[in-house]
Amino acid sequence: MGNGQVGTLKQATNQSEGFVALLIAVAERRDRGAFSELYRHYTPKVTTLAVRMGVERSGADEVAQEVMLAVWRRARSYDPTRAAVSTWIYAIARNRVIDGMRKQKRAEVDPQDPALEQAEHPEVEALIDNERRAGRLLDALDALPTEQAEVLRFSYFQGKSQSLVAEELNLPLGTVKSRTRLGLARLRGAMGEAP
Amino acid sequence: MTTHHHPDDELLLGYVTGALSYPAEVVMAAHLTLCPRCRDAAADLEMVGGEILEELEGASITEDGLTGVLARLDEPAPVSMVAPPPEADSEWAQLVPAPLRAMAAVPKGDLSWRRPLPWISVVDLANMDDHGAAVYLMHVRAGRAIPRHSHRGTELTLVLAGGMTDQHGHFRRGDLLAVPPGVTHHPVMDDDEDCLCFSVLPMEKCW
Ligand SMILES: [Zn+2]
Repeated sequence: MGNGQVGTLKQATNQSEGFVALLIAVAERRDRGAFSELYRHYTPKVTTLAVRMGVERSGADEVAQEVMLAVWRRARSYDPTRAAVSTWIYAIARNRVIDGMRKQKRAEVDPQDPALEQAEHPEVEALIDNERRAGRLLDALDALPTEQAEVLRFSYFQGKSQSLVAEELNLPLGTVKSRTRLGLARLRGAMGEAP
Repeated sequence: MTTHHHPDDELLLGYVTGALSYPAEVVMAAHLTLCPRCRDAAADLEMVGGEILEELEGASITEDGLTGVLARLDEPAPVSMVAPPPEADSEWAQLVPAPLRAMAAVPKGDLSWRRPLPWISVVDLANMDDHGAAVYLMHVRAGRAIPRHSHRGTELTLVLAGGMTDQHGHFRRGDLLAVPPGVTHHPVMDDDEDCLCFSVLPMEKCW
């Protein structure tokens, strides 16, 4: 562990399937060894994400530790048919950063909400292999033209509106919008649905 | 129920990356509650976030940090504040999505309605100074209209019951109107049912 470089799609898929197993071990057996492995892999990434999202360097370690504690506490709510491990941890980290920056809690869909509208044609969820999709997505992100990848990464890191992204990258707003659109279309293609 | 008017990619991406103001975030979370199609689209954008996280590097962890977290695993979890207040009125809970009930912070019976026009009742959900936006629930009687207006920022309105029509189309439960700054509109309610909607009117463009 500690080597974050992932060379090929095959490795990426094997690695991420390993993370699903680790997270399920945490959920079902409260396995501290499995948790430690997740901690080693994700803590440096979450710390960097928090800094990119505007958390002070000095506070980012504490944010990452709280995110990993939340991973331990909420592991039972992780559903591999709904999200890849990296997706699930990203959402926890993003919400923790947002909650630290303002008074109001992050607004999210509540899956138990009586108002929730169910999908009319529930997919055969067991067939959705999120880790495989995530692996394809990681490859597609790698293959994206630099200028599209830059605009997209910037949107995620800074949690900023398109006009602020345009300002900071010193690009016309229309350029940011079209690069975002093109980039997202390619990534959606890689995830396996109509662009 | 099928929604026909959805947020564009910019709003979806803004929601997923945390770029929106809190009131706009609530509009989006409420729309996603009512729109499985946009829930899927948001989940895909979240997966992009996960892979962008996966690409990041950072300084290796310290063993002290890991030991410290392992020692905290058995601490009781902090009490979550996310849940909306208990709602005695189950019809209301089915009508109004949870993120919006949480923003209102009180059950239906404690909402304080004011009446700017005889056919319009409004609950202010947020202090304008806090968000730079007027944020309210609005109940409009069937067949009546909201006076012609425009705004400096993009208006976001989510229809929760009934329906309304303006030059952009016909909007029913779950549909989202995003009216750009400076555009004047004059929504007219459906004849057969009172309309309930949630609106955010920024005084300045805030996303
Ligand atoms: Zn939608």
